[in-house]
Amino acid sequence: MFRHTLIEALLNLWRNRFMNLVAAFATAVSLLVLGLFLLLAHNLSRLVAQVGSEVSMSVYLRADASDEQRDRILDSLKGRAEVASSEYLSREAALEKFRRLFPALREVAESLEENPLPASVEVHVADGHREPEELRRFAQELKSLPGVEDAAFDLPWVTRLRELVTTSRVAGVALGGVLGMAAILTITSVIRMSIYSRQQEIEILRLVGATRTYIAAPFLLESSLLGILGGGLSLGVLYALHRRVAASPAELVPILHDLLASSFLPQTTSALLLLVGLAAGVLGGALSLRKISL
Amino acid sequence: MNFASGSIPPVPGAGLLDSFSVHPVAWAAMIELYHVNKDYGRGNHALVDINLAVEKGEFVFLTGASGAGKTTLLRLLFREELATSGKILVNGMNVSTLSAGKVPFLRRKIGVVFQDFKLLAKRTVFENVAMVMEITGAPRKEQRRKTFSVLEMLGLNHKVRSHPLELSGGEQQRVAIARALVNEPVLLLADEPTGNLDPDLSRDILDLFKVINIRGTTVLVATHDRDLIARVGKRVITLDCGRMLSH
Repeated sequence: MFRHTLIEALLNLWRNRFMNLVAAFATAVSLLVLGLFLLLAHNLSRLVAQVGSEVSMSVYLRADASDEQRDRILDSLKGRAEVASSEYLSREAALEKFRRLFPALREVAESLEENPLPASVEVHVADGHREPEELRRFAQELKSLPGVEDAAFDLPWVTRLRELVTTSRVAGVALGGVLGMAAILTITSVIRMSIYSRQQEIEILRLVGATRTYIAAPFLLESSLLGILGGGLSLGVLYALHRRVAASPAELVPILHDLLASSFLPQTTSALLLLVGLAAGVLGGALSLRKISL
Repeated sequence: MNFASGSIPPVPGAGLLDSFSVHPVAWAAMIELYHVNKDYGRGNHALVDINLAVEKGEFVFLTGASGAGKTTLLRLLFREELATSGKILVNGMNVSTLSAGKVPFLRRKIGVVFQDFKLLAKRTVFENVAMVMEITGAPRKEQRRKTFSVLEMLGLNHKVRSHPLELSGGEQQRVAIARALVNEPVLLLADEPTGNLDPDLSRDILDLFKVINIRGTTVLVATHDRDLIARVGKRVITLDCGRMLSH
């Protein structure tokens, strides 16, 4: 039975090779779009992870904050799980930093009678505590400490990046889904044509006592192989594209380089792409066999 | 055994035959039809109130003009079509209530020789015949042994590698018969098996059916060739416009 199924499926693939190639390409294109978006999402989340590690919070002290209050703030920060490290920046040090960072404005700084910059504590947020909601809560808590004027962190940038990751995943799945439907329909038509071209043989097999499984199995295997072939093709093209971009100078289009060439899809995602191809094939095969009396 | 036209054989306990695979006990029936009707709609009655019984090991002719319902009756027996009403038992199986999944297993017990042969042009003579054994999952060695054996019996051993279209009408007919016989069916149905053949070849085919019958297979041959029937001298069931005339 298995031998018969395999031989018949391979023979069918060969007999209708042109149409089968078209179906495999249609599947490959849909999966390539899906794969491309997954690759973008994958590299974006890596980027977010990197940027996220630089998430810091500035806790500005009131001008009238006492040394005691300052020490208490520093002490309380040391015990917090959210804090990887913290660094106190006095008003003088802040002014010094300003002068160093903006030499052109040095004169302006000199002309001031009083140092306008507040003392602050630079807090580096620890890994695992960078969720926007948690950061917001932490900042709120710090603001309520005596002697604290304000606590600010670079949330919008992180949030936007995270949103981009989600958007590209959703867009990939949605677009891939629509194109996936097209691939399923293409596979269905091709398998149906393959069935029609063998109508006489199917009828005879039926009349001499072949079971539905015996007749249908080769067509299902054929469609599944088409799906996997499509998945494999898309994965191959995606990898070639990734390598091609990686080999080109990063300065050409830096963002493209970052998003396509930094890292390829993890093995599980690659396997998922093949699985989606297989699922499209099985579904296409099952649909084409549905209305045919065997 | 002789049954009056249109009557049900007086079988003790025939009412028990309602249930699937109950086999008649008083006599061994291969085919039993009880009040079988087949309508194709719009007043087209292909078969009307058919009652008949064919014993195991019998050789029976089914005759009648074209359109009398011979082919329809055969198609009902191997469940290619369902009767509109009535009950059909083949080898003890209630064909009317047989689930779709069990139909292939009924067909494996029945060898059918089709009027148009139904051979696969792209497959060799050997493949056309062996295919029937392959679907049963028989070991390849057994497939080869039985296929060669049946082809030899039918004088086709020198044509195993030929394709059907390279053969004469008579040879194609014999390939169709070989395919019907290779699974050692309990029942052989033949629809106009000599329709395309000259008289000599027709006689040969009929002789072959007699041999098959002597070996124990029940044979039901649908034909409108009255000369052929007269020569063989077996029981005849006549259909006329879907009604049974005589045994």
